[in-house]
Amino acid sequence: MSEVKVEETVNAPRLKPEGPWKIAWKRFKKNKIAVVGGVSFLAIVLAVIIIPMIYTFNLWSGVEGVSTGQVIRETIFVDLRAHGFELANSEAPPSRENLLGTDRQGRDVMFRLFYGGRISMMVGVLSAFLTVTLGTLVGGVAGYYGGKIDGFLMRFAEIVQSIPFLPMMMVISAAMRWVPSDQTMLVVVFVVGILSWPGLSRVVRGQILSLREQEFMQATEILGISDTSRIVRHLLPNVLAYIIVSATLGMGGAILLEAGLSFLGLGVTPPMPSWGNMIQTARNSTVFQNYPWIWVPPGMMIMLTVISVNLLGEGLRDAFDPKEIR
Amino acid sequence: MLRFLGKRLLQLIPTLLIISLLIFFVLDLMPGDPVQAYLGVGSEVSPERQEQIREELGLNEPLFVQYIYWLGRVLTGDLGRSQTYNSEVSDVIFGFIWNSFLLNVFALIFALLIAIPVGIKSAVKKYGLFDNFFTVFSLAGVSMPTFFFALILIFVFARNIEWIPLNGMRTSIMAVRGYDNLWQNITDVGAHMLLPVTVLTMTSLATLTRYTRNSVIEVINQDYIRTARSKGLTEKVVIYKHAFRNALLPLITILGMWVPSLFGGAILLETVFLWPGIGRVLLSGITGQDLSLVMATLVFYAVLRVVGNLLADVSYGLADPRVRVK
Repeated sequence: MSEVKVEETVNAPRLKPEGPWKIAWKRFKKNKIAVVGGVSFLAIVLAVIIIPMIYTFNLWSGVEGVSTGQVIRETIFVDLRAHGFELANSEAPPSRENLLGTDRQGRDVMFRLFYGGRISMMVGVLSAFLTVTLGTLVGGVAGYYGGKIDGFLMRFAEIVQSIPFLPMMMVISAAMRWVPSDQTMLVVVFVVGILSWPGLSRVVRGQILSLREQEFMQATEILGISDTSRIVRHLLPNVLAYIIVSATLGMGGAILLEAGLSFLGLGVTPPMPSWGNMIQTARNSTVFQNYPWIWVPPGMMIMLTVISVNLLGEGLRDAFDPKEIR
Repeated sequence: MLRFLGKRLLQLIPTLLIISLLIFFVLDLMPGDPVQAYLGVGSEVSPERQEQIREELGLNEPLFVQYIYWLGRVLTGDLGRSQTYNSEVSDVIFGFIWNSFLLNVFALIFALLIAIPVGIKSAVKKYGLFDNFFTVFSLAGVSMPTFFFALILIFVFARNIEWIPLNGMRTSIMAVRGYDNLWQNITDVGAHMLLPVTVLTMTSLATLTRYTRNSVIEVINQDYIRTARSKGLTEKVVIYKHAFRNALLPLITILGMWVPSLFGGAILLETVFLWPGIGRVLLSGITGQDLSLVMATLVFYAVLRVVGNLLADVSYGLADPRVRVK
């Protein structure tokens, strides 16, 4: 008899308390500016994926011997002048054939802008991923095990943090000049990732240190749950909010860094396009003065992307922040 | 306080040693043959002689031993010779840091003069029109690649206003011929500083305004501010005497970190404006594969960064008596 009663109470309809994720999502939806940031970020992602697929006319306009409209995808990445082609339609202003004009090699700027966008966004996403993985790993291990391991890892993080950021990136990129153009993007991801994890690792460590002392962690210890499971299932979900926010904001930072490095000629190298190396063409004073359609659009795209990402990131931070409830 | 300072200073030594070792190892990966660099471009020397020089320079030793040699030379004040500038590395560095300092110090002064009143006003009327305007302004400021902003500025000014010099530090004719008097020298350099200082001010303004605003908001919510108000003090006294002084604390920390970085050049801006600062030295060192110059510049940047962290700690201790007691 009594067993049946228990069943009944368990199955009885009751108000389920909302989980932290649901609360955060609700709060995020209310924050209009953050939603705008999120939506415009998604729009940019979709644009850089879709536009290079559908926008295929006149990629190679003006090369002699090739009829206009002929599409050879690979050529958009090739420096045609270096291959000895005569170019009839280089530096053409925006027109109906080439919506944003063409560059010095007669390549369509619009196509390169969105294809380069893929590269820049990939750099952002992958570097944020690498930074977050390293940061969480180091911070998690340091906070969980404490003691000597913690001391050593945090000292190491402090040293990495004291390394001059941009100069060191420049040197590492310069040392990796042998990488072919279409893979230089990975070099940028690597340098950004290995130098920017310490910030997050400190936050994660601090959080885990304080969580470790709480009752629910003592309970997991008494229940004899394995170390891995305690870290992955019980500790990490509690710091996930920090990780997501830091990944979002870190992505914006990485896109800016890619632009800076590529502008100096030490990031993604041409002929593979990226927003940064498209602006780099402005270092040539003729291009800078007379052909702004080559270098202004990528700068605008960077700005738009980073603003969206920052709005999204700050919105997420507010949404997750328990202090903001009220 | 002195003991604290001494302890922190001692801690700097291992940090700097490890960083310089890391830099040394990374530089070893850079392309370029040190022997060729030592001999100068285009010099014809027999392979035997080259091998002899290699031996003399200690290049056949293991990397770590080479590092020890380098360290020994640095401790005696010998930073090596730069082949790009064809002079002693120490002369190059100390010759250029003052140009960087000149730009940065003016930018910081202007940024502070604007950011503090703006930050206070934004905090007092939180979410008002003024506050919202500067929120958007700061967001745009941190989301725009600085070099792109600089390029746009040059592009606009080059077409519309003729008397503002667009790049460089001095008018070339005057620099060659020499200035008639000190006043002419000052006005010439000053005119060249207009654009770069504007860009630098705008970028530091974005962060400094946010920082001041948030720290004033934090203080305004404290009990002692309510006490001050309920005593019947005027709002002016409450804000400027009670709130602002306390809000200064975090600002001082940031400034402590900022002061050494005044000597480090803004690498991207110096490239755009062709400003002869330390950032340009680093870039030309990297592109010219001038290893001793790059090594010294990077270590110089690391010192700035480490000293900045130290100053931040110390200045916080000086400003806040509660920290000092510990």
